[in-house]
Amino acid sequence: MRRTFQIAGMGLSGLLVNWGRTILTMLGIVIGVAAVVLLASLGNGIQKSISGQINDLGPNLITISPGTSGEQDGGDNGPFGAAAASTLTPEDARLVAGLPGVAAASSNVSTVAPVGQRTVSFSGVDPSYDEVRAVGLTAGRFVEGRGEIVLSQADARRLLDSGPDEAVGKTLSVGTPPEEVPERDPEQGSAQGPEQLPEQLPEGVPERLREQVSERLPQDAAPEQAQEPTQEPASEPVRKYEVVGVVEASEVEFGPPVPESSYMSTADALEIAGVETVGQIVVQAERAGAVDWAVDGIGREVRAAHDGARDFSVITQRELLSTFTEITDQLKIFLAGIAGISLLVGGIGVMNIMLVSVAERTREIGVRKALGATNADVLFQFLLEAVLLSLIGGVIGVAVGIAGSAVLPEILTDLPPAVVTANEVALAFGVSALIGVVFGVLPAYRSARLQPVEALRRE
Amino acid sequence: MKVIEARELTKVYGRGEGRVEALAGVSLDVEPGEWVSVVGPSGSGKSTLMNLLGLLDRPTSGNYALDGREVSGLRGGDLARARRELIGFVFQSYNLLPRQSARKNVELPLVYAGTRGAERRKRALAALEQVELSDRAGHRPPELSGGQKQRVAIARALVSRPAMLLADEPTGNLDTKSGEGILDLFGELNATGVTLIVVTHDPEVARRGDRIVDIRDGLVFADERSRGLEVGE
Repeated sequence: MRRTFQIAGMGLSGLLVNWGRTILTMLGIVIGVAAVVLLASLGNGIQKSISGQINDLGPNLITISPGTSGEQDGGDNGPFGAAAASTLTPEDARLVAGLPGVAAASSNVSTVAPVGQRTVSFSGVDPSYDEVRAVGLTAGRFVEGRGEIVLSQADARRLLDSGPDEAVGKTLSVGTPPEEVPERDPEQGSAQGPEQLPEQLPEGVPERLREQVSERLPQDAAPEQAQEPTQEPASEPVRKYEVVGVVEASEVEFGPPVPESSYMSTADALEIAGVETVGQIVVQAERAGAVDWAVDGIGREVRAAHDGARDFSVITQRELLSTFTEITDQLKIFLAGIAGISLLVGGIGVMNIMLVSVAERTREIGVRKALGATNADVLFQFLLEAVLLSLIGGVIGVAVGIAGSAVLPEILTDLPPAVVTANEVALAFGVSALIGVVFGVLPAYRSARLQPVEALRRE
Repeated sequence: MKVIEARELTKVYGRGEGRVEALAGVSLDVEPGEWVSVVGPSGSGKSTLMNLLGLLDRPTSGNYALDGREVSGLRGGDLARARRELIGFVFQSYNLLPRQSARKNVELPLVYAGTRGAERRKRALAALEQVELSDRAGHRPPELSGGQKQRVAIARALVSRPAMLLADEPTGNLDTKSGEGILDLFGELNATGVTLIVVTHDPEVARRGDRIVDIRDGLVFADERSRGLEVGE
């Protein structure tokens, strides 16, 4: 026992004395472990961020969009079924709001309207929209009727040059004479409406691809993006609107900042847009368990109201989430692949250095054996060294990986905050430690078994 | 009791066509306090004999008792134990660990004997004192001259108080003056009762011993008292 202790002490001092070799060996482990921890954490962060954003919509959210989805329709609309103009009306929203299992429902119609010299995008919604989506106001109250608007913070600053509290109670003129038709706001690119997308596909695109595109359309028509085509806003007369509230600035988790919407009543938005159908209807189920029930009711009742035409699709937040989870799972597999390769490369580096280190120490092994070291003594020393190198290297690697996970999203602001999980850390640590120990000890075992005279002969 | 009692040691390398009989049956007795020089042309088998006597290699056949203990059948841990308790090695190329201080190098056999740190240090310094290198205890091998390195190696061989010192061409890498110094040191150690086996091809070095054992073709060709001894006494 005492011998073991003395040999361990000697092994440790050997690591310190040969610090150059020690650091070099550790470097491979550090890089391998750090890469795995960093990439895995980034992948987790992206997944968490996306599912978090979708969850922010509320678990009970149901979205009714015009057109049919490939999964839900009977195929009678053909591949271009989704291209049909919107058929949803404010009456549908009122009908849905009264269905069992539904807590609240609101139309949502997007439009752009000129305000003075500027163009503002508005979501035309019902008063119940605040119940469905929990808009979050920093000042004032939500739109309760015609002639009222709620501004985003950006719009409040742009139009009134004032903070949220000062903006409430101010009056704005919305709508301009025809000759001052403003260009469409570039951020309103989706105002072209999903129904135009298939026509934008170049000639010669295979039918199959077109079908795929049209199948994806209901997903493209996710709540924030589904827009009603804007039509001739300039033909509207100028009207006075009272600012009744200002939206809370949202915390954008990653990606380009999403512009906050400004709100007005559905009726005003329909009037400005010059249309009678809404872009979508958002529905809040009473509770998570009532979602399926509500979806059934919506499908049945709205279809009946549309004279039996299934010209709309119903997407639950859960379906949306599972779609995105599929995507992020693939992303995570991809990142895990890269991390695995890093670990492999790191492992080969460790292996290489360990092999070289042991090879050039064969003579040392011979000397030690001539001086009375047993095979077990030699092996013990190399095992101790390999374990220590792997442990310290692993700890440093984990630290570097975690530090990188914290720093990288700060530098690359498009990245969501990374999420470090114990599983990946343990895996990276374990694999590199295993590689370090195996390749530190295996060649040492071979050398230790040589007759000392053999080992001494090696240069 | 004899330090070395070897009977009909043989060592055969390879098989069939490539079979080489390095030792064809060597018997050798060494008394305590003797200084034996082993000489012979290269390829004679003297290095093989030295490896067998030093327990660095196993004989193909024959018996070998070291300090009264039969060691030819030892294996593994027992062999390592016999090596560290009974034999002190001095190599031609010193074989010091280059990054460790002289004192740490000398301590090495004691580490494997399980001696405690403080005791180890004391004995290592005493051994360095014996080879007159106390003032170089903290130096690492690259900072020492060839003669000093070989002295450190001798201190390392002495520190575990073995039954004999086994030196393989100890002056082979040294200039004449340093070599003389090492041989003088051997003389002093021998005078205090240390048994020495010195393998060399240099007649000058061989003549310093009490006995010269001449190995030719794997056999003892001659074993006689050295004239050097007659001159010395």
